[in-house]
Amino acid sequence: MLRIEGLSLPQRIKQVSLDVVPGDAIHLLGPNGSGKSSLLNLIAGLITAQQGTIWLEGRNLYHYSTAELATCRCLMEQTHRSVFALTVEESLSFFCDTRPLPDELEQALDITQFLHRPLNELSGGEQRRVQIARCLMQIWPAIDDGKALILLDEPVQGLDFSHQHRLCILLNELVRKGNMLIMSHHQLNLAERYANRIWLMHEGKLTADDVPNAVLTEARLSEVFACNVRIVADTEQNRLIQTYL
Amino acid sequence: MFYRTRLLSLLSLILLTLAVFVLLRDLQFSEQVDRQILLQLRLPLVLCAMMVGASLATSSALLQVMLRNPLADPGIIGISSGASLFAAIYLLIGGSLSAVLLEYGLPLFSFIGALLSTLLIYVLARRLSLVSGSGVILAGIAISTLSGGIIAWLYFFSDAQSLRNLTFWLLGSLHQASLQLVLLALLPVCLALGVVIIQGRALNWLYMGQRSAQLAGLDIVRFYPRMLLVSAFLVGVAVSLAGSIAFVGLLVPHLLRNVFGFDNRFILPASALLGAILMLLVILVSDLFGGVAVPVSMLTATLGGPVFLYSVIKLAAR
Repeated sequence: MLRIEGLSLPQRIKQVSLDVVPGDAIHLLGPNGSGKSSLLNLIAGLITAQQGTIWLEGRNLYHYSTAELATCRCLMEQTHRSVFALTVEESLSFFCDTRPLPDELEQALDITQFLHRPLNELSGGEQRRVQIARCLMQIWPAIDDGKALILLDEPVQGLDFSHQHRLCILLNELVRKGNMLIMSHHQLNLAERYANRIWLMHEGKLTADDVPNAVLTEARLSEVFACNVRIVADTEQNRLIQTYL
Repeated sequence: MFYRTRLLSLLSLILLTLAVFVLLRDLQFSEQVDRQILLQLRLPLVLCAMMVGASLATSSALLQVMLRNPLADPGIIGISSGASLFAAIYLLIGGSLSAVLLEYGLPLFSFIGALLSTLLIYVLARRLSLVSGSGVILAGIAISTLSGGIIAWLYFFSDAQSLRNLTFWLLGSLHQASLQLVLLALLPVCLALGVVIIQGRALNWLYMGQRSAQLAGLDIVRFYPRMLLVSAFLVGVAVSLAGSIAFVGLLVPHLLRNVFGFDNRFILPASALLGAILMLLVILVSDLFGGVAVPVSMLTATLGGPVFLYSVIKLAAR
């Protein structure tokens, strides 16, 4: 369980309080600069809040050692490049002892085909898939036990549609084991389809925390994203969210 | 993993064979003279070469990953120049001191120089938010230029004898350290090398940046100052034993990574072994020039320059 109480970071996060329970698949939405990455960095323990406390499994996050945290939470960051020409296999093996790649990960991310290629020579989407695999493999034993906190900052950026869906399906399978997931992105339809809770951030504040149907409304999205939003139904009565200026 | 262990064993065997060969070559085995040559000349020479080669190559392998710059060699980023500057000051000012003070004070001063320049480069690059890019190289060039300028002023004001000493020392020589000094440095250098070599896993995380390493469990706040201190110590000892030696640090890890990949659990010990082997080879090559003591930097730069150029061209072609 994760509990966030009155978290503040100057200029970026304003008094955010939240609870996350095992089995939560939370999609974090909001315009650029709304504080999504800062909130994820705070929860990961990478930066320290000016005010507020984060409790992970009943223990203050700041009382965890760096090594302890590394076994139960992962964070995939947006930007990631190495100046060294590491192969994909090397970059994965350096961060985890799990070998070979777990089947679930391979099915969703398709990375075995370029294991021996230099990471820097892959396309943006391929690099992103490797990055997601590395992040999850780092805490794979905890994920297997259903005790992991998975934090992903824009993991679907650069991924083709097929891999976007396969990733979300994989993550929801992991969540069903009892893990906690918080991922930020800008794909409203993915959030509608795969989230069981949505956090909507705007100007450093949490403006909504509820199930997709309640958060993703035309009025709210139009206001937060300063954009026209229309919600329609497809032939199977699923909601589709369209945006236009 | 098994094949890497075998490679390390092979490198150790080559090093041992070379060391024994350099120690015993051309000896006539007439007791008294040979004993003198062995203890007073060859043993300090071989130990000094091995320590200097291993220290420079290992500290470079460490610095290249920590500073996220494959060009980070103690010579290029200015640590050697800082150590040289302090050593040069000591050589000139301490010219009037007793031989003992000169011999033991020199390593201390080079170490202080290496440490100060390492810290200065790191602080400058960090202050300018350039640690991950070319900032370290730029800060290093600034420090090197400044050190070079001050050393030029020292040349200008020194007498003929000091000038000769300083020039010869700055070009690098493996013959200047005594057995006592080399033995004194042996244990601390081995310990420092050991401390670096066991950091392979943490350094592997650092390939993807400081934040990734932190997320993987590395305590960056403690790791960086400690490792910078150890690398400054290794470079300081190398400079104080043999003067400023170019290219060994840059070349060895670079070659190893090109051939065997990036795993620092292998690269760090292999750098130590190959660095030591390379310096022993330098001794053998300098033997080809008869009785003339050829400055080490002259040889390492002449041999290392083309090999490094080849590596750069190969890298650019990828």
